[in-house]
Amino acid sequence: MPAATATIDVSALYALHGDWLKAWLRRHTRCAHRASDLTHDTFCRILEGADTAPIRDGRNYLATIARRLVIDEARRAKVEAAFLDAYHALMDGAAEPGPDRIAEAVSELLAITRALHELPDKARRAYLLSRIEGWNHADIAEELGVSKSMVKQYVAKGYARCYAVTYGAPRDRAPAG
Amino acid sequence: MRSLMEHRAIEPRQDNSEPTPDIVKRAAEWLAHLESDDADDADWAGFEAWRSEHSAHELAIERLGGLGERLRGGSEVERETLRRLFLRPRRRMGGALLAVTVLGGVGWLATTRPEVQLYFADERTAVGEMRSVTLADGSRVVLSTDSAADVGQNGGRSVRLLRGELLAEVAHQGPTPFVVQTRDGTAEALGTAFTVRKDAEATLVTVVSSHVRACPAKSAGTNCLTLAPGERARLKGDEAIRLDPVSPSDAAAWSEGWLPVEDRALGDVLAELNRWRSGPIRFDAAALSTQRVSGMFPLRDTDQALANLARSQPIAIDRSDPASPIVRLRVK
Repeated sequence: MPAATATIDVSALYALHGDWLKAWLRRHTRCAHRASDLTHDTFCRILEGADTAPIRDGRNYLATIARRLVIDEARRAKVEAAFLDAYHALMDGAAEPGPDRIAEAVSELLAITRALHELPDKARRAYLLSRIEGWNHADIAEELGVSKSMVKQYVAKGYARCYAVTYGAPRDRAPAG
Repeated sequence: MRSLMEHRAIEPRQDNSEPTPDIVKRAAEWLAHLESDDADDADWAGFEAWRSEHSAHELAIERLGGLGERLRGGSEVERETLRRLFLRPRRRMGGALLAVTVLGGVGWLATTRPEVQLYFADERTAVGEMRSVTLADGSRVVLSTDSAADVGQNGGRSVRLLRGELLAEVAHQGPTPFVVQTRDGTAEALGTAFTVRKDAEATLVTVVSSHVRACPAKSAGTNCLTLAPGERARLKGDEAIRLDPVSPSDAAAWSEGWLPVEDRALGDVLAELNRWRSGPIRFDAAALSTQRVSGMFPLRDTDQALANLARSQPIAIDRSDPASPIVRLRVK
């Protein structure tokens, strides 16, 4: 058997390791329901081709993807907690937001968060101060201790990152002909 | 707040109206320029000309404009969430750092903090603790358990790791290189994120993203290695040795409170957990040497990590001393 194959036989992988992965995730999340969801997500990730690393060891491969999903989950929990804190701070005394409202907001915020995480610290702050606080570039430059032209570059970088996360990284066109 | 949620429908388009990287970059620069106060009428005219030049330009502007509005036009709760996640904690830390910089002569440190006097370190963590420090240039250093470092030397871009481990996230490339130094050598950032771990005998440098130049202390700038993401080097004396690479996302998982393990000896894993515990797990490494472990273990709750291990490994845990449990191989 070759050590690495270009295509991944997902159904074989599922038959061999699906139950093991569910058990693995149950141990690491301590919740059977989430373990099932994450098992499902892991195989979806493979089908989407987001992970095309050669498989040397099916279990290690699955565990690597599943682990990343567990970390994503932790990030999601952090975003959700911050959202609820913000909600209660602003809507003092209002009723809890409904589950749909939370789910919608968190998934949107996660997409933005993913883009922001990829920016260097100052670029992230410059972009946020511009876009959510509506500060002008001169104030941002003073706050961050950089030049105004630097702020402009940071904001442009922020735009470009959000674009890539929402629409996929832009690709160069194949030369015509 | 629907407007934030509604992604613009992406219609199938002619291939050449799909923006290329250059077009997206240019469009982002236009928007950033126009929202600064420097834009005059000529700039606006130039922008309109560029935009109408090609359908791909038009589309890039339309998409980017929509993204910008999603943040500014979104609800206050979403904006407040992003503030809490990204803006506030940083500012608080920046303030704290400034106070240390202003007051922080050795004399002040020595008289007010005896443990600092003892170790001459600006930043220390206790066993099981983890701390994030933002440097003056915006770079971030996360100190792992039981670690000590002098941070912000040489204009803020030099860190001396005295013991333990740290993750460096370098804010940007500046005129001064960002360097982490130990007794065994240096790691110089050619990009953004890497970890440095100082053990009793040697120093381990692991790259999380971009590249790092790792140099052993006693080689006068020779024998250096340039490392790519996931690559690791062991520095000792005048040698830099390349080790087997690891997954880049795993290299700094500890900074999020996780220990990722892929096919490692059980004894190694327990030793790793012990770095985060004041009462060590006791075990006989030789007796456990045949057991291999894969999994993800919580570092903030090493008792839980141990319980997880017990479910997948043939081990028995003796908790007669709860602070310092004993792990033995279960007899069949």
